Amino acid sequence: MSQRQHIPQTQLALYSRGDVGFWRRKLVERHLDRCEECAAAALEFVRLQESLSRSADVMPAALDGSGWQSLASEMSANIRLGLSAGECVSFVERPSRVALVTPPRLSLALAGLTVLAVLLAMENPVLHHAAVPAQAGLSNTLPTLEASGDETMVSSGDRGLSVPAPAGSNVIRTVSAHGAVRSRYVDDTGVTIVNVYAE
Amino acid sequence: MSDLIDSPLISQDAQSRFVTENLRRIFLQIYRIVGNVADAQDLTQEAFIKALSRQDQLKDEKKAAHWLSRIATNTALDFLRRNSRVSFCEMEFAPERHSESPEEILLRSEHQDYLQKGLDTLSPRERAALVLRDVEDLPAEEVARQLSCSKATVRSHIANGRIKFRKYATRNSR
Ligand SMILES: [Zn+2]
Repeated sequence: MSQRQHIPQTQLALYSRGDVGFWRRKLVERHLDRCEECAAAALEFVRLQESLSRSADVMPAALDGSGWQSLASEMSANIRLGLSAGECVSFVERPSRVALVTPPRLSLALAGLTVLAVLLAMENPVLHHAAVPAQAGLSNTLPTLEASGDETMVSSGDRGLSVPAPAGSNVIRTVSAHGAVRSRYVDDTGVTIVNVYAE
Repeated sequence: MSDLIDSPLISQDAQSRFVTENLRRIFLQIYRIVGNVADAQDLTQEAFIKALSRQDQLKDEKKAAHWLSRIATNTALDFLRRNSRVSFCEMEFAPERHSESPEEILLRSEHQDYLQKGLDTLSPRERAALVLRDVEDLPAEEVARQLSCSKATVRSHIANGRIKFRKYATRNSR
């Protein structure tokens, strides 16, 4: 590689962390000895990677202080819940290969089980079923989400499902562009997730 | 984790320990890929449930860590594939923290924000490759395994990711 022909960015990017082969590395090193421009670029890549690797253990600002601890306990509780739910219905994954892609059924089933488990754990789960039979065109009706201080309600046509959340708890409500709704909060007792999907 | 190695079906204690030992690492790994706490929480739980449902894979401690990481990466990438959605309404109330000085919190949140915005300029696979290689410090071969692609492909993801991140850093130099 002559000095006029600089090292391509991709090679500099790979070189800076030793991700090139032996001979390529020797070529790059010889060029860097003579070319300040490429040497400066290579140094920038090195600094960037140092900053990335320093950030490995940096928590998001929202989880500073005790935030991580409470989230960790919440996740551990939910994992335990998910595992016992899994034992009840004994999910069978194909044994021949690692599940590289989430089976959508698994996530939906888990979401459903989570809702069920939380509903059972609550004193007053309110399931609204209107007296009229389910409409055939239910899927044509856009689901709506109403959230008040102590309740999240998903409704679609004549049917609705409301999940109470204690007033004063940190409720996270998410509505996505394709009609998924989710509400979540941490209760006092440990099992702490409420997911309602209406997709 | 010695119980994990000794017994074919791991006890609840060992399961809890496995979760405790890996939770922070896996959460952060997923968080860097999906970019928000709420989704990272759901996906972390999902990844652990998947991993612990396949206990035969957990007998070797070192392999188990890589295997869990692989499930986490794929759970996150799959989520991004499934949900190329935009949340247009998300209310999140983070409790106030008092353990650090306001300056420290600002510095930390600025750094985190800076990092995450930089990662957001990458494609999901480039982001995953960069997170695994440069943040998690995994060898390129392992990154290729986790992303189920060839080493050449993963090198191209890593290079593109670094170049984009450098462009972002140059534009936003602090
Ligand atoms: Zn040059």
